[in-house]
Amino acid sequence: MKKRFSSHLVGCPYYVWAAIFIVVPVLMVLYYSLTDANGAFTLDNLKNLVGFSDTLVLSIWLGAIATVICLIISYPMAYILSRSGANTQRTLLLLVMLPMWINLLLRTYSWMTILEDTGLINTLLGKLGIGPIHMINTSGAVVLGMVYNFMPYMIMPLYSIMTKIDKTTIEAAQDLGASGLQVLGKVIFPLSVPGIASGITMVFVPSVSTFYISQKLGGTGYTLIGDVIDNQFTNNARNMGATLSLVLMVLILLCMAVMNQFTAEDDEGAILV
Amino acid sequence: MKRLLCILLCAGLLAMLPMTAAADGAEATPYESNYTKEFEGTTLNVYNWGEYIDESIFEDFEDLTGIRVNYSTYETNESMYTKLVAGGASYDIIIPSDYMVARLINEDRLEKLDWSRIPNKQFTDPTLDTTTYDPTNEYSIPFTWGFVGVVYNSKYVTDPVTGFADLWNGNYAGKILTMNNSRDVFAIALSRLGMDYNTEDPAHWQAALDLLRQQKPLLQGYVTDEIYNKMESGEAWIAPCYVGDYLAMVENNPDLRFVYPAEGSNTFIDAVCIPKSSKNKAAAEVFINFLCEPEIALRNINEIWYFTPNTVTAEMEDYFLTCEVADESLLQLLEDKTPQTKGQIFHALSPATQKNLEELWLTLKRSSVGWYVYAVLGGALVLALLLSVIRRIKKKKAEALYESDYGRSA
Repeated sequence: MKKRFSSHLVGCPYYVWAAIFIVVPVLMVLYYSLTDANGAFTLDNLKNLVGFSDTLVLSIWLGAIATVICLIISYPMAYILSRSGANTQRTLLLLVMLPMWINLLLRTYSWMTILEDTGLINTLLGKLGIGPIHMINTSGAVVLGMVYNFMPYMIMPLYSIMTKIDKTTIEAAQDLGASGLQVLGKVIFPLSVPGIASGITMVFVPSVSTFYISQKLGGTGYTLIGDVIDNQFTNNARNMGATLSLVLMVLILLCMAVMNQFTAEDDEGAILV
Repeated sequence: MKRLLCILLCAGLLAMLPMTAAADGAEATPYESNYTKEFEGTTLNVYNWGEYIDESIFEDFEDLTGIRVNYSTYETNESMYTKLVAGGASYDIIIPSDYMVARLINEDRLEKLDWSRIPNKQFTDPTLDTTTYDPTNEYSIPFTWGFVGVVYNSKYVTDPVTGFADLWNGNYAGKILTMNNSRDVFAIALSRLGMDYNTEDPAHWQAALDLLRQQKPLLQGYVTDEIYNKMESGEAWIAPCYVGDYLAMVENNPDLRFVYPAEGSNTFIDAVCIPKSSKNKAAAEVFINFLCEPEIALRNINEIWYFTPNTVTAEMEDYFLTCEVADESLLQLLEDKTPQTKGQIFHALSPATQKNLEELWLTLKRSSVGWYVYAVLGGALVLALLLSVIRRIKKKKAEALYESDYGRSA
C-alpha cells in the first residue's frame, strides 16, 4: 500500500505537466471548435468541414506516399544496420541521426535552394548542357521533403526491433532448409511487424500534419491540412482552425488505433509515440 | 626642410582635430539632450514588420533612456491583428498599415497618443493625408509611406510590362509570385476589374476571387519577405511588390525593373501606434518621439528604403531617394505625384465584408485533388479492412484447430 502511494507521488510532476500542457489544451481546442468568434455555441464549424475534404485527402495521400517510400528505403537499411558490427552500427546510427541535429526549417529551406529552377541541381545540370528540370513546387518535391525529414523516425524503430531478432531463429530456419527469401518472408518480416507499425505511425503522423514543407517545396498547389490550420489562425479564423485541429487529432488517433492492432500481441514493440 | 614641413603638417592636422570634434558634438547634442533616464530599467515590446527598421537604433535608444527594447516581427497586418486580439502577449508599439490602424481604432484597441511627449510630430509632412484612417489624428503617427507596383526581371520578361495584367501572363507560368495577405492580393484583382478596393458589394469580391483563381495555377507561391531571394536570384520573374522592397532588391540585381501599374495601385501609409494592451505607454511615447527624430528616421529609412513622412529627413542629403536612387522613371513618378492621384487607399472594411474577405482568401489558398486520389485512398482503406477481417478469421480458425488438436491429444 505504502509503495503504491509513493510511486504515485513520483508520478506527480508528470501528471501536473500532462494536465496543464495536454489535457487543458485539448479541452480548449474542443471549446473553440464548438463556438463561434463571439463564444456562442455553434455547429457551423463542423458543417464547414465538408469544404476541406480535398485538403484532408491530399494530406493523407501525400503522407501515405511518403510513408511507403520511407518504409521501402528504411527496411533494408535497418536490417543491414542491425546485422553489422558494433562499431559500424555506431557510425551508421550517427549518420542516420546527424540530420536531426539541424532544425527542420533549415533543412527544408535548403531543399528549396537545391531544387529550384536556378538552384544547385539545375545549375550543375546546366553546366553539363542538360536542360533545366522543373522539380520545385511539385508533389514530388513535397514528398521528398517529407521522406528526407522523417526517414530517421522509420529507421530507428525498425532497427531497434531487428536487433532483438535472435540470430538463432534465422539459423534454425536455414537449418530447416528455408531459402533466403523464405527466411525474410516467414521469419524476419513477421518478427519485425511491430517495428514496421510503429515506424509507419511515426512517419505518417508528422507527414500528415506538416505545414512548413508543403509551403516551401509545394508552391501554391499543395496546401496541406497543416497549412490550412496555420492560415486559419493567422487570418483570425481561430474557431475553424480549432475544428480542423480536432479533425487532425481524430485522424491521428485512428491511425494509431489501427497500428496498435499489429503491435498489441507483442508488448515489447509497443508504439513509442 | 622636408622634415620641418612634415612636422608642421602634423601639427596643423592635430590642431584641426578638436575643431572637427567640436563640430560633431554641436551637431549631435540637440536631439540627444531631449532624452532623460526617466523610465530607466523598463522594457518596451516593439512589434513590427520583418525587415522594417534599423535594429541598431534600439541600442542608441537604450543608451539614451535606459529603456530596453524587446523586438519581434510579423509578416502581415492580419497575423499581427490576430496575435494582438488573441491576447497573451502585450505590445507597446505596433506599426500597422492604414486600413489596419482604422480597424483597430474602430474596435477601440488603440491608445490615444499624448502629443506633449512627442514634440517631433512637428516634422511630419502635413500634406500627407492621414485622416482616411485616423480621422482625428489622435491615435497614430506615420512611419513610412509607399505604393505597390510590379517588379520584373528584364532578362527573362521580354514582353512590355504595363501593370497587374502581366501577372496573368501564361508565358511566365511558375515564375510569378504574389503577396501573402488578403488585402493586397484582392486589391490586385480589383484593380484589374476597375473596382473600388473598399467595395462593400460581395459580387465584386466574388469577381475578384474568380480572377485570382485563374491566376493561381500560374503562380510560384504566396510570399512576403521571400520575394527578395526569389526575385534577386531569378527564380521568379515577375511579382507585385512594395516600392521599398523593389529599391532594396535592385541593389542586388540590376536587371530588375519597376512599373507603376496602368490599372492604378494601392498607396499606403504605415503608422506607429500604441495598443490598449500596452503596460508602458509613457515610455512608448518617448520611443515614438525617438523614431521621429530626423537623424533616427534617416537611419531607418535608409535601411528599409521606403519613403519618409519626416520633412526634415526628406531634405537631408543622405536620404536614399536624393543620393542613391538612379531610377529616373521612379523619381518622375514621385515628382508627378502619381501615387497620390492615381493610387487608391485601403479603408477599414465593414465587419461583414471583412469576414467575407477572410473566407474568400482562405478558399483561394486551398488546394483541390483529382477524383483518382479519392479512389486510390478509398480502395486502400477497403483493402486494409478486408485484410484485417481475413486475418481475424484465420486467427480464430487456427485457435479452434489448436484447441481441437489439444483436446484430442489430451
